[in-house]
Amino acid sequence: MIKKILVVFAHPARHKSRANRQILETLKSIPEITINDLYEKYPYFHIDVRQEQKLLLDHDIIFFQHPFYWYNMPPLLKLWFDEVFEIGFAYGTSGEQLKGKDFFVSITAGGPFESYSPQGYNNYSFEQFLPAYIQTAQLCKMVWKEPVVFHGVNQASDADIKFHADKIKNILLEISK
Amino acid sequence: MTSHGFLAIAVVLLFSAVIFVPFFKKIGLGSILGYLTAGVVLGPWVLKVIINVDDIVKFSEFGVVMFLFLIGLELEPKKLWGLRLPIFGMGGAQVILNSVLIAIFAKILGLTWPLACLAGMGFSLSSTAIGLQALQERNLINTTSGQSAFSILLFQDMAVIPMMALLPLLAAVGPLPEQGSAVVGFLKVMGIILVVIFLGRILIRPVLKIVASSHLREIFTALALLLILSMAWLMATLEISMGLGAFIAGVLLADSEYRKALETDIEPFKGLLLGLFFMSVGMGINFQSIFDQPGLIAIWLLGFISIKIFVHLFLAQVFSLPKAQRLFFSLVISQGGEFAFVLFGLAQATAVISHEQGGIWMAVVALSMLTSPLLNGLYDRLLQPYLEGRSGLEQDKIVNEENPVIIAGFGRFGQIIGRLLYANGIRATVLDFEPDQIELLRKFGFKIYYGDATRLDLIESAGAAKAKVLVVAIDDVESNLKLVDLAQKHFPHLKIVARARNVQHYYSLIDRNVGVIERELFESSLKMGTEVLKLMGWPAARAVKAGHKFRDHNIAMIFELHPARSNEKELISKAKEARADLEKMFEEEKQLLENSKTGWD
Repeated sequence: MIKKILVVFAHPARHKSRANRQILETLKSIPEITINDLYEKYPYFHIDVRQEQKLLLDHDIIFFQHPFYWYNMPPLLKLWFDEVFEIGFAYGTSGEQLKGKDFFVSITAGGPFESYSPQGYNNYSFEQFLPAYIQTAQLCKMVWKEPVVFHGVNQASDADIKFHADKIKNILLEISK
Repeated sequence: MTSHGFLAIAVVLLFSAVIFVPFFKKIGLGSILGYLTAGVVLGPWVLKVIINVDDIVKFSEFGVVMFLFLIGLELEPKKLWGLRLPIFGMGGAQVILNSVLIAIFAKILGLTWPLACLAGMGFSLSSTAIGLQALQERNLINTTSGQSAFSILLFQDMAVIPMMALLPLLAAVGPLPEQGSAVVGFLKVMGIILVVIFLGRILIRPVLKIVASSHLREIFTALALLLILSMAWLMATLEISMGLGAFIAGVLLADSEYRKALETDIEPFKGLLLGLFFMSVGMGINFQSIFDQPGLIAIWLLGFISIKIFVHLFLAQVFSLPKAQRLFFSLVISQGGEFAFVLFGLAQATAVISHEQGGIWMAVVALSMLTSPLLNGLYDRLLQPYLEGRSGLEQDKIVNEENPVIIAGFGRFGQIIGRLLYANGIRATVLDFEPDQIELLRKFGFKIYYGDATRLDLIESAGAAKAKVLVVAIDDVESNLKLVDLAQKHFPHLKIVARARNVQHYYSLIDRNVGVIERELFESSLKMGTEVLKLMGWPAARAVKAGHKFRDHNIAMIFELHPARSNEKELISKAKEARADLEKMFEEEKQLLENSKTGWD
């Protein structure tokens, strides 16, 4: 691997998850990947900002893995952005230290693919929920990667989940070359 | 004595204790003086209800024995080892300096050197019962000066052995003692103590375990008493202080799991017997010799107490005790002690001194035991406020501004609060008997007031009128509540934040409408429980959530159970209630297992 991968994993109730747990386990099997399990590390929501910034600096691909709930990221991941992506570090004239790193988002969503459309109960396409992510990457001069979205995760079979996890693993191995 | 006669005496003793002691306590003279006065009144010189004092003395001595056992229980061997310097250094210096100076004083009064030496040794000893009780009543036993006083008393317990061995040497006539008998005696004692410690460690605990597992409460109590009494008996037959034996037994068990159980079992016996002991001292005061030679007795009394106070002040200086505690330390062990009776009695019996001389000395010792609580009381009321007033002024020069927070109790609990505030730029005034690292704290801008935080004048001078928050971090439940009451009555504007020792204490604080109550161990236990869940393989976030949920539930339970618990007067049913509450909590907590179905996947 040439590019170093940091997996920023955020799941508030990992024990209830099938998909995210499977993805996490699959990625853990690759020793070169650094796993940063936020809810495991900061269950009291007290983030070590310097340590997180150092982790970011040490890696080239920042891969976010989390479930989508109320059309957004889990609260600890939001707090992580608020505190770690400081002015002078992530953006601003004196700090563009994340410039050029990949910003790669992987999301699991409960609703099926069809629901994310003007005709579905979620009304908007999935991409229409992502501008905040995209603009975060742009402001920090990071490289936006096409997100991986796993729709209808509640109905997915174990085989589907396994397949999806392997797909993510292969993508990561590919882009890190 | 017929059995009726025994009953009558018991009734009279208990009756007078019930009358005198609460009364003396109420008027602020302390329980010891109450017992002593009751003894004087019942004794052969006033009401003549009890003539045969010796029987009662013999019996009541076990009060002192049990007291020392309980003190021993509080001292783990490691802690005791840490006290070796004060015990041998301070203790040795105290006995030797006092003996020499008092002997010179006696010589000036016209006694021969041998008798002067005997007087020196006898009067150098202090009363363990009075000294420790006075310290305990003021919650001072764990302060530096308390530990020093205790160490000295402990050394005296050992020193009395070679003193008795020296007696024949002082006799003008009589057989010459063997060479170095004092040294031999001391070595013998040390040897026996070591054997007892060794056997005790091997034997006592397994036996306690067997008996405890039988779940027969009264047999456990019986075993505890057996243990103490046999230890005392063993020591007595070897002519060593019974108290020392009981003390060793206590130390041996200090780090055992039965410590609390033993404490609870022995405490009432100790209390009553110690009271009886004080009463017997009161009864034993020989008013005949006092009336015969009041002048001489007064000279002896004033002389030896002044010498002792002077020596103790000197020692406090040399061993650099905290300044604010020096005077009380000097006073609290300035009286004559139980062992003086023993030593002078023995001297009388072996005709080293005349009965007249013995009578005078023993009357002086007994009187000093009567005046000692008075002196302590005087200190509490007059000297201490004065001294603190002075140190308070000194402080005001350093820091002018009024601190918005007062922290009462600056042990491990209060310190963390104080440091958190300091780290965030909020100044606090600290009240404590003995803040650690006083100079250091001052350097960092803390204002410090020594003394009893439950005294109105002290919290007043600490700036309670202008402060915003009062942190009651005192661990002793009674003082804790007393301070809350006092603050609410006189400074209603103060927001009170209180440390609760346990749930019962929590209820009492709820009764007082204290806004913020925190149980001293609850949060850290909860946090550690959370860590255990994590080690069981739980995701951290889930474990933390379970901890939070448990906390909420537990606090809700406390408030739910509280209304039924508001009658604070009913002391007896408290323990039962606590158990019922706990049972209810366990039952309810069974339902806590999470069953929510949220949609994260």
